Amino acid sequence: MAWYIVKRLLQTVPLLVGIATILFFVMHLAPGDPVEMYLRKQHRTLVTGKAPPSQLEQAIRHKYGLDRPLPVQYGMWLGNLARGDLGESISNRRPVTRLIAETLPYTLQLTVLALILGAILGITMGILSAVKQHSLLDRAVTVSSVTLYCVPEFWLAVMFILVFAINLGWFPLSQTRSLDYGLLPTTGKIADRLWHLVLPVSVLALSSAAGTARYMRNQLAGVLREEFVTAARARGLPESRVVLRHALRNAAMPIVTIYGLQLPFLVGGAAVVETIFAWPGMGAMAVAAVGDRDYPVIMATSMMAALLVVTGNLLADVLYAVVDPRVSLHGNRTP
Amino acid sequence: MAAQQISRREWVHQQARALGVAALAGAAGCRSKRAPGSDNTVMVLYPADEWVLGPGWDVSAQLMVFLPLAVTNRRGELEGRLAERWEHSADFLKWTIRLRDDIRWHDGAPVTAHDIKFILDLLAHPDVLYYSPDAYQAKLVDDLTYTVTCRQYACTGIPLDDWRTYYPKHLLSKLDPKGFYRWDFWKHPVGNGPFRHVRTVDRTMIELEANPDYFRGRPKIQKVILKFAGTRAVPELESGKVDAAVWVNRADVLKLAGDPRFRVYQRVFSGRDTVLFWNHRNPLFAETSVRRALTLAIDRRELYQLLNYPAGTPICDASPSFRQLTRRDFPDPIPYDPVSANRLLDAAGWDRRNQQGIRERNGKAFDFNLVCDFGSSGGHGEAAVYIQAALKRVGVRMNIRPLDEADVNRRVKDGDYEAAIGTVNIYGASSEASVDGTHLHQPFDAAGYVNPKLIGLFGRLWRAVDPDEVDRVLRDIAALFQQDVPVTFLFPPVAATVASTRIRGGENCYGEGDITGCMESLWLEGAG
Repeated sequence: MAWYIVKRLLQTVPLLVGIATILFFVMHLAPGDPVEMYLRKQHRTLVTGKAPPSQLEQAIRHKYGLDRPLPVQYGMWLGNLARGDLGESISNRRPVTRLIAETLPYTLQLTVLALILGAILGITMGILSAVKQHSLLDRAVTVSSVTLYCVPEFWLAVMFILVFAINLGWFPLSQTRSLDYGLLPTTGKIADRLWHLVLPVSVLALSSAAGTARYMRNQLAGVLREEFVTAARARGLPESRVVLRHALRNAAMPIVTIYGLQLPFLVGGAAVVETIFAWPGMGAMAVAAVGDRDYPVIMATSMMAALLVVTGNLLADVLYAVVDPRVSLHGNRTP
Repeated sequence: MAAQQISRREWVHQQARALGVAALAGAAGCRSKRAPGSDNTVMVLYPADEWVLGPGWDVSAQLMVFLPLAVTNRRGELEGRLAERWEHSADFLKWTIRLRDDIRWHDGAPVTAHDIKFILDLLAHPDVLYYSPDAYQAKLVDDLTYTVTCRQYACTGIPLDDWRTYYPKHLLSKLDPKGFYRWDFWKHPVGNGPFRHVRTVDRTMIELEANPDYFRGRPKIQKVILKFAGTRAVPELESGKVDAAVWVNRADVLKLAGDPRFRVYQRVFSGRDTVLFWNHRNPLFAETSVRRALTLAIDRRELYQLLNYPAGTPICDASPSFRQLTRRDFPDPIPYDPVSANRLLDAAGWDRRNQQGIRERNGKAFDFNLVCDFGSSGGHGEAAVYIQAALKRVGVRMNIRPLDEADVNRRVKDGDYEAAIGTVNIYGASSEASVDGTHLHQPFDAAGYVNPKLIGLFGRLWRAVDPDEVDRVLRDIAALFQQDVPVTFLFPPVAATVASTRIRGGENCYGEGDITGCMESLWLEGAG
């Protein structure tokens, strides 16, 4: 297994370089200029009516190497990346690593909680639905999960804000903490952070749980009809043991794949929810960077997502072998 | 009594229940205890972050903590703040500025010319690049007097900029300019303005308090909180979470304008006007009479109403200066006159109509595509839809092609469009050649508009530093634009603050587009 993982990790290097190359050149093909966008955003130029002199634009362009040929810019970026330097954001003139360090924890708070809650909720709903097939419970779970699956996250987020924040006033409209956060005792601070997490995490978790529940139900329902399940029941095993020990393990393969591939969601999957709840995470930062054509930030966030897709795939493959002993990591499948 | 034995499962249940109760109790305790405006505090929804008081942002909120040399009043005149008096050479390139001697930093140190020179040098430092390096040279005369000599015309707005604020040399001189935009000082600033920094909570808020030693007197509002919670003004204001929201977009202004709990403060700027570009290389728009007809067909007053522009916003055919705006000193615009529009189009040979009622000439329909940033918060999308309907009434079909802002800008820059809604800043030289008066401003050049007289006028405008000369040139440009209609000016930029009616004094505020710029002259109704 260790050799397999090392081999796969080595394979990811050329893959990531390829992704970086495509990303870099495609991004530069898109219309728009980061320096122009930065200078246009400066309100001062709007108010005084005096646009910044062109020498300033040229000086900024030179500072960021944007006046050099594209292959040279790419080489510089790759060289800096190899040294762990992700560059400086053009739109707010601060190091990208620092921006990521500031925003990533906020995103992880949302996405990790949402993934865990979504998995617990989705798998539980799926199991109940599969075990009680065609019952009232199954129908209720099916209708609610299909509905949640169809509803876009932004709509759900707006509805949650309208109902729970504005009309009922149970939860805050936005932000990660209360304005008087600094004055609260430690327990109050923890409660305050959890209180602010409820709405955004619920939106993300419900959306994620809906899909998981559908996959879980269908997969488990199929497995429960297989002969080894009948055999287990015939041997007199309790139903809970049949379902949770024997059937669930066999039905879990697609769920493992889904969650393996959901790894990139951890850094960028909450962009819409972050924007709506004014949550200062990486997703919202990436969206803003695209609008500003802030190349260093776009490249850094895209590469993180690419890295996580590759890692997620590797993780899913490794987990296959853990979940299903018939799967061999060396390309053989034992009968 | 014997100790009661409990199972592991019961113990887990008990712990979970206890945690749940604690979380609920905590959450209940965390609810906002403060109703906005209930004391002498103003809470402002500010679309920024904890770096907002630093040079990475150019916003009015900075004027609460830091003073500029002078401010522009409602009459378009400069009023001294840090500067007591100033004079300039005949060509406006050399300025001598004398500072007031009674202004202190919030830590008690006096504000001197050493601070100003240090900051001017720093802002033009090659690692900072706030201003062009070597654009000017600052020299000390004495502790309170200094001179700025501009080396180029582009610097002329800098010496007495009513926006630029200055920072304390004694706290910053040892810091590395390489890290200028990320100095911790910007999050915990020591200023010289009407409000002092109290605390910053990252990604959440900045709290300021009235400065009792402010040289113009202690502000009436005791505390200001800038809340960083995005741009959603409507829910924040309607749920009473904030007292005011700045830089509110047009759609939200429209929603909030009719609510008696709020008052909308708007400010019309000069420069960066939204215009309708016609590509002169396209045969449809090559004739001046056709461009004039299309302009005559658009009711720009009604368009202003649609976008909820402040009453009395002037309609212009070129950008007026701020002085011209305040003095309402600009020529009458091309009017809304659909009858004349039809007549001009008929005379230009577009006198036949096809089955859909679209005008035709030589068998070709008057049908074109317009590119615009439909997601623009500045109302470009709404304007496009309105213009489409207006032109249809005179038999012209305009198809809207929505693009993102950067794409529209690129197309306007390259002339890659038939018609486009975009912005133009006629004060902003696009190159040195345009300042020299040898090359036309890029958007007009790209549109295929060739007029040597305009090249000369733009060159004069960008070299001009005398406000009277600026106004004279702008009048000449407006006359030329009315004659040639190279573009159709649609509307000037406008900024809006929506604030609770309890906040008073905003109507006398120069920076009313962003009410924080004049927080020192506001007060709260009923506050002690």
